[in-house]
Amino acid sequence: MIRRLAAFARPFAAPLALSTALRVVQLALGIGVLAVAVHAVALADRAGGGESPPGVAGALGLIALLALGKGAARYGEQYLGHWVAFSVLARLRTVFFDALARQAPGVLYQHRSGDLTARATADINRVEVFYAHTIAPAIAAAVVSLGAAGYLSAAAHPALAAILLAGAAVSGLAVPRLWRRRLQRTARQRQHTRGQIAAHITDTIGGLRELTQLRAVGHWQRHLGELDADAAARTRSLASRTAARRAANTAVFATTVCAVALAGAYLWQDGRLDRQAWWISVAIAVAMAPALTAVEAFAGEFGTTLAAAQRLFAVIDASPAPARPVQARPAVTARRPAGAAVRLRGVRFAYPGPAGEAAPVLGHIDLDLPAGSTTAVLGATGSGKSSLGYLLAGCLSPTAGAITLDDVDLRDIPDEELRRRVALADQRPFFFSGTIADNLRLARPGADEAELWHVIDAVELGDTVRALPDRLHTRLTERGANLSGGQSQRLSLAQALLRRPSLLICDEVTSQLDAATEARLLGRLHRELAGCTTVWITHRSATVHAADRVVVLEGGRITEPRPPNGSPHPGL
Amino acid sequence: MTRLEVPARGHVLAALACGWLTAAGLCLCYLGVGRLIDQVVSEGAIDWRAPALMGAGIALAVAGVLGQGGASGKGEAAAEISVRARIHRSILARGPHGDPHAAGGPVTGSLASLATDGAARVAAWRGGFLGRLIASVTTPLVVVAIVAVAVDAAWAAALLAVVVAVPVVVGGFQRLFRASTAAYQTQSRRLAALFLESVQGLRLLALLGAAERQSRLLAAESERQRRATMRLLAGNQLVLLITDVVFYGALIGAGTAVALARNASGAISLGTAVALVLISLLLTEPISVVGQFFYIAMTGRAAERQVLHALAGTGRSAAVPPPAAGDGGAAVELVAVTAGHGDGPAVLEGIDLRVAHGEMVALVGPSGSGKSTLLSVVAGELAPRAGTIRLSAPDGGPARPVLVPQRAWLFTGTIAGNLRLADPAADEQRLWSVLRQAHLAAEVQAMPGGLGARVGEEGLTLSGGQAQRLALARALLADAGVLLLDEPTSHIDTRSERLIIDSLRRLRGTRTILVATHSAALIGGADRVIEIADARAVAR
Repeated sequence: MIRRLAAFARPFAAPLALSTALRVVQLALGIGVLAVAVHAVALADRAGGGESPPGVAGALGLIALLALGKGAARYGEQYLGHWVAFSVLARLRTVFFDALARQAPGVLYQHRSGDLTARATADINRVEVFYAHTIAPAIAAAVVSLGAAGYLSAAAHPALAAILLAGAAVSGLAVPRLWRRRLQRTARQRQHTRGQIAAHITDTIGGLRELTQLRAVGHWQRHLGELDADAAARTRSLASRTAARRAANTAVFATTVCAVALAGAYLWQDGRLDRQAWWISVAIAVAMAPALTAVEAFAGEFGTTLAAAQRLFAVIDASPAPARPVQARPAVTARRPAGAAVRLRGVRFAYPGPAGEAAPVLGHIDLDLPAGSTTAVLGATGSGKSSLGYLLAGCLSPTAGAITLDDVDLRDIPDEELRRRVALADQRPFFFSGTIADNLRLARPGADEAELWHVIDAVELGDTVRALPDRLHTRLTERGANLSGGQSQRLSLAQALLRRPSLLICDEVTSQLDAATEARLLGRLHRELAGCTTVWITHRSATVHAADRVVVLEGGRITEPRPPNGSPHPGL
Repeated sequence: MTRLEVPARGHVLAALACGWLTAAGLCLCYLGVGRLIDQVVSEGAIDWRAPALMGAGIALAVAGVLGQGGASGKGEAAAEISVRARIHRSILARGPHGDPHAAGGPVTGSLASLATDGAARVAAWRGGFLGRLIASVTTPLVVVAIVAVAVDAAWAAALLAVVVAVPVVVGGFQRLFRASTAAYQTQSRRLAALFLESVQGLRLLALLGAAERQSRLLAAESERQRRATMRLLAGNQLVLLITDVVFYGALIGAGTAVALARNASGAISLGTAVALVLISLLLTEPISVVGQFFYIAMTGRAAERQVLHALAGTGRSAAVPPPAAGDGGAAVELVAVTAGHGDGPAVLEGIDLRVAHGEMVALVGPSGSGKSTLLSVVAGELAPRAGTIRLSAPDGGPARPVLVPQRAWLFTGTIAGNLRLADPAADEQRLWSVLRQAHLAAEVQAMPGGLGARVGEEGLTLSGGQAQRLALARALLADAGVLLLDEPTSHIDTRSERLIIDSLRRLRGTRTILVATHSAALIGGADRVIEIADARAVAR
């Protein structure tokens, strides 16, 4: 995990190294300040009482100079460290979203959107600690400890160096291992609970109407209370263990200082150490505090940082490498392309479940959709109609069997080409906050207003949109909540039309329309979609009669493909 | 600026006291070192007193650290629960037509982020960090007091002057950077909102081949946030430079100079002079929290302001008065009701409608004519602009309505969990009974786990028709006399629809049903049909 996190910082090796070096400088100058101060006291005593001590002004000047250097080094260290950290975080966010996009829509069956957002924001922010407050302090603490020990060994006595090094090793290496697994587990569980809390809140906002209508508000609040209590218990457990570690470090630090002072006293009495070196050794031991405290700080957070990183990589790693071959961007033609011939052979499909179990949706499907044909797909709810639509659109892949588009397997068609040729109007339309035009242009970024009006009129929304004060520039509220059900279905269809596909799948797009509007819409679309291979997933008879062929799905299998005039349809 | 009431005062005070204990302990420890030096240098021997002083100091310091960590953790946990509960309550109090769906940017992600990340930040600041901060900032006073009493009042008096300048300067800087911190947090919530929307719309983005474009948009927003952060840092890290230079240099320099002068005048021993130099490092303690101050306190306070702002928004959403109880003659009675959304035009004008007890009435009309708005008004979700609404039970008491919207929200969890929202105490038999009424029982039986089968976010693992029938079953489980159904069969095949209509017809007499629909079969099954056209209701 640490290696994976570090790999993201590789492009920033130079600023990271500079930040580390500046941290070493900063810590060394801090030690220098205290050493110079104690040195001045030792010198003053040698001059004898009563007289003005020599070199005091010089020592004070040196202290000021060292403090200035220390401040500058700290500024540089912090700025560079954070620069690296936030650059990496921005990159991690992009990598995370791209991984999600590659797994869409399957990933949505395994994670809740609130939880995914918590990963992309709170967890990624957590990882900041690793880049800004872990790498440089860890290396610098080691360097400074070794440097200080080396200095003591040369200028004072190897025994004092050994005590100092032993103290640094215990607090930097041994104490962080205390309860390491347990802290990591608790931190992981807390992050998990917090993800659930985020998802719970998302559900609260989305389902507010239902909660109010069902008078389930109190029940719902108790559920949050349980999650909250769980997170709080883990926070307390993390805090008390982290405090115990910190207390252990305080003990080690103060004991090291006292041990250096005592050992120095014996060595001085034996005449093996001069007084000045003895006191400076004590000062250095005291001044090691900031280096060791920083290690303590990130070690205490490390469990949470790792837990956050694990939650990120769990999603990133689940994503397949970009599988579809990449091709040069084809020019989008204004002319309607010819309809595509579609063939399904032995297609089976099952959704991935949260725990890996799979509920089979489609059995064994063989089906031909000739170029330019219009097919109605009927079937009871839950018979697999929508899944068939997603398979045809290539946003789900069959678990067995193959689907070809003009004799090329869907899996071998470059993503961009597939999206250009196949469009699907979803039975649960989704809109982004923004204007009607913004939402339409998601389907075709360069579309001019004339094109937008053309598709708006084609789906019989022209009058409605023209009556709005801002017309095409009317803002949709979050998720298009200000559209009626029938309006959002038609807007979603307009989006699909704007793509000028050679295969169009319409999933229940007329179900919330009155008969008159439906009839006008079907008439318009008949002209609009001439030549395009079209699949209507429906149970409205008007839509069925507009089709050339009818396919009936029952329990994930096709029971009877036949011409539409052989009514009555059992699924209708 | 008012502050959030956070139940962590005791923990904050405990953390403060423990912080002082640690400082006193280290002070004793360094005085022990000075004692040792004096003993060895002037008396030539070490007796038990110096090591005892050191040992006592270490014990105090350790106890202080241990206590402070525990108190901070408890304070943080308590504050987080309290802040989140208040945000949650305020979201629930807004009502369905309150802020969450008001025009503007996407707010769900930003509210969710405020309730999780925001609450955690406020808690880390008010519950966890505040005690530590006050302890660190006041540590120099404690140290100076100890030195004044136990060692040398003159040294303490001289250093006190430098010590009091620290919080003044730091406080000034913190005021200077408040605005940039707030801007940064707003930026980061915007990013969260955009991200949530992108995840929820991921399927559409994939279908439109727009995922890559959205990824670039997110990357740009991410980059904007990074720049905002770096601007914030470039400014506030300057405080580090200034505090380091001014206070680190000044405190240790002054501590040393005064110790030297006092030693030269014979007021203190040499060992004490060394101890005072070491102790002057303790006076720099406030500097050590300045860095953390920007992470925890500034972000925490900005989050606190946003929470306060979000909570203040609650008061503005007008509560819909409960519908008046009628005379018992009709289950639902609307008199001259006019209604519309926000500041928009009136969708319904002067509607008069009477529905008898146990009657099933179909509302028809072109898409967008106001059928859903009418149901919303009867359900008590939307206050009418004019007119009265009365709902009454057959015995004359008030009647409870329950609305099933067109796109009913299903909660992540199980089938049973979704149903029991309507009645937490319902046993399995009741659940199966409403599932049978909604003609969904056979399919639930076939699902892995049955009633315990998982329903993905927003009912993702269910087909559109299954989701509709589950929402219907849930409403049937609620003990409501008036059922308001908005297009309940739009995703359902004709055969299943017929069975559902049969179920609904069997409910006639016991429940009053208003159903907005385009389905000929459902219209045919109703006792009466009302058409909504041009904002008015006409019997058909």
